[in-house]
Amino acid sequence: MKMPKMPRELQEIADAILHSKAGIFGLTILVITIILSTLALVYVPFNIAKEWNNPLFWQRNPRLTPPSWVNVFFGGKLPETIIVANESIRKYSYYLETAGLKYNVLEAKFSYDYQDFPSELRLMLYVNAEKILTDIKWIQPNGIEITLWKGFLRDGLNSIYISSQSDVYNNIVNSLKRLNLTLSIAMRPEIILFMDNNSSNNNPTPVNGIYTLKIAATSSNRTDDVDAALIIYGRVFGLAGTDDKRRDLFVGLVWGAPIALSFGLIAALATSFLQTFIGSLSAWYGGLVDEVIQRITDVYMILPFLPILITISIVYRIDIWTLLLVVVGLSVFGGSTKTARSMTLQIMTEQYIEAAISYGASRKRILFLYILPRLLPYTLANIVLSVPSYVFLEAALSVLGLGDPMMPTWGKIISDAYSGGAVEHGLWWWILLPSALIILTAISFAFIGLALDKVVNPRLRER
Amino acid sequence: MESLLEVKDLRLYYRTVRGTVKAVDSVSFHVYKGETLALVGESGCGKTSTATAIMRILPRNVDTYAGEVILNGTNIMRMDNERFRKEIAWKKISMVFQGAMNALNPVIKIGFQVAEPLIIHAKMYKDDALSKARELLELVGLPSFIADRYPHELSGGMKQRVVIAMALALNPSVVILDEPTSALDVITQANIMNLLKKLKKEESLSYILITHDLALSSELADRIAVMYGGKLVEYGTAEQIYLDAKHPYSQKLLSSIPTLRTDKKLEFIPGSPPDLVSPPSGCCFHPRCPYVMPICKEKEPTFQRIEEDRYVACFLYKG
Repeated sequence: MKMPKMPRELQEIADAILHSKAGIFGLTILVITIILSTLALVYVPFNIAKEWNNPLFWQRNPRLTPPSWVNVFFGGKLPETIIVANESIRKYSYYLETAGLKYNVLEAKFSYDYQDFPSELRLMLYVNAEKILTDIKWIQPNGIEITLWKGFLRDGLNSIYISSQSDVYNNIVNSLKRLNLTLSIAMRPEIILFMDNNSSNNNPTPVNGIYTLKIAATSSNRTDDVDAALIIYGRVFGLAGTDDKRRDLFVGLVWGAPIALSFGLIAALATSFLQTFIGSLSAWYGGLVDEVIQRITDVYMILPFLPILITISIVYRIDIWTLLLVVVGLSVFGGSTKTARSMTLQIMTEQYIEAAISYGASRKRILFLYILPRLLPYTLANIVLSVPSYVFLEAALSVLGLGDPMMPTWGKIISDAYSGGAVEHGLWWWILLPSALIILTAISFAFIGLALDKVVNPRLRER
Repeated sequence: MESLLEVKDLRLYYRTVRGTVKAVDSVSFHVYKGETLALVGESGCGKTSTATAIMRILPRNVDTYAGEVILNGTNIMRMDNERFRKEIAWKKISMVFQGAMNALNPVIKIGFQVAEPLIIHAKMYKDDALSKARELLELVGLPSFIADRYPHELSGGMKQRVVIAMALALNPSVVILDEPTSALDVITQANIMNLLKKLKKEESLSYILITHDLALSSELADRIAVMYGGKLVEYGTAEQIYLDAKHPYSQKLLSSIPTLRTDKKLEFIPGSPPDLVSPPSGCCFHPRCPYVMPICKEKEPTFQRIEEDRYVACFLYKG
């Protein structure tokens, strides 16, 4: 058996795409987007729809930070997020029999080597004791020791928000006073803790070197235990930065790719194939079938598509796949039905159709084997050209706040950015990156469509 | 001699906005086993309509479809469509369509197209049908690798051969050849004619050759039926027609054929074929007939027998 060759029309389409600059360009972008989509599965192995809106999942990320690669452009070394936990914390614990006291001492050491201050500090303590007295100290590389917090902690997870708790701030200021160091102006705790005290308070510089966080916990039970994690939130994060809910935007963007592509492709495939099929059915069977299909198509084409879609979205708060279903449902009949009908009417008069009738091919066989293959190039071009419009449609509905409330789509991210004040605060990455991806996807299909134009549009045929 | 296909009083009228078109009006003829009947006439005189009436490839606007088509003693006109499709179409009577250039589906490979009737009728598997298709292609003088080609990769003559191979796929006894060599150059025409002759002899086929080209039909025809305005005007053996045409129309047609060497003045028939919606009264050839008589304008001549198997519809001949 020989390898079956591609049907001529498909071959022609493949040639048209591969032999034109526009086609190659479009295909390259599309392939990149598809790689991005597959990357999504590797990079985001968790249930995105569940975790995207779960703030606890993202609590270790900094808030509203630009992507890491800005360091390349701005020269200055903006700090990345440092998480000090588990192995990097040395832990001593002993039980003093005579006093009936359990001592847990945790010593977290980390090196800090950046020209800027972190954006936020948070200490998380996992306490396994009914009540535990803790004393938390911060030691700078130059030996300056600052008491952060002192007091009782209860069983479970205790978060100490070093950057925002007023008692922590007071403790820091008091410790500095004892060391005869005074602040001329009020400063944020994360700056004070990393600041070189010899530098001016108006233009502080961070001290680089090994920092130590010491936690001494005292309690009364032999089994009492405490674990800690220190999060030093950086000023840059990941490949796409973070939003106001500390979410890694790169996760949202890579997940947006398969969603946008599948939404656009499925909608385009379904509507184009359905419309073409119904159109040729209408012409081929004729008579009453034709009349009914054409009149329904007229009604469908008059229906205001977007307003109906918006109404349905508002009333039912549908998810993205239901939205897709509604979009397809509203486009079962449409422009392509008319085009396919007229093309079929033309093909029907061809002699080989007559020959097929005479040698007894059934009407169904003729429709599927003789007529529909001839409509294939038109349908394929139609699909390619309508994908971007469906990608845009989904984004537009999301921006209007009518998209899927759970899934991170590109439109949803832009919508979040808009409501999060990204425009006013110059949080460019939050808006520009998803927008760029939407545009890039649309462009890739537009270019492929441009290449296909030569196959489908007879005036451009170079034969 | 044994009559294989007998057409009796076949009528096919079309409904149009202007009125009823009597495309085929009371046409009767015999096709004998192993013989060729040539159906000749000008364009628009109902030749192809006669073929479609026999093959039942009727357009939607059929007004009247009546008469008898007797194949091997059974009237196939009485069969319902499904039975006709299953038993007669292509199995007993097949057809080579006019203009081979358009008779092949441009998106299906040649082999598969030739195999289509086999798959549909003989319920053969695709692979078997394809190998049979290759045999058929060889039968019509094409290399079997043509089966893997698409129609646009073939020349006109090759396409014509493919169409003939398709017609022969199910071993029919009658093949209707509708202008099998139109749009081909003379050399290719000759090749195709030779092929048809060879096949006729080898496969003992009967042909109905539809053509406007009398010279060409002389190559193949045993009998000739001359059509004019949807009716038969003369029927006889090829010899009788060529040497002694009775009907003025047949005479005129013959004298319009150019011949080599003899310095003959080519004649033409003044006027144009009749409008089939409102044909002229009486004999519909009378406006163009050189021997027109008063009776021609009033009465329609009957298709009368003048000799054994020789019929003519003209008032010039009586009984």
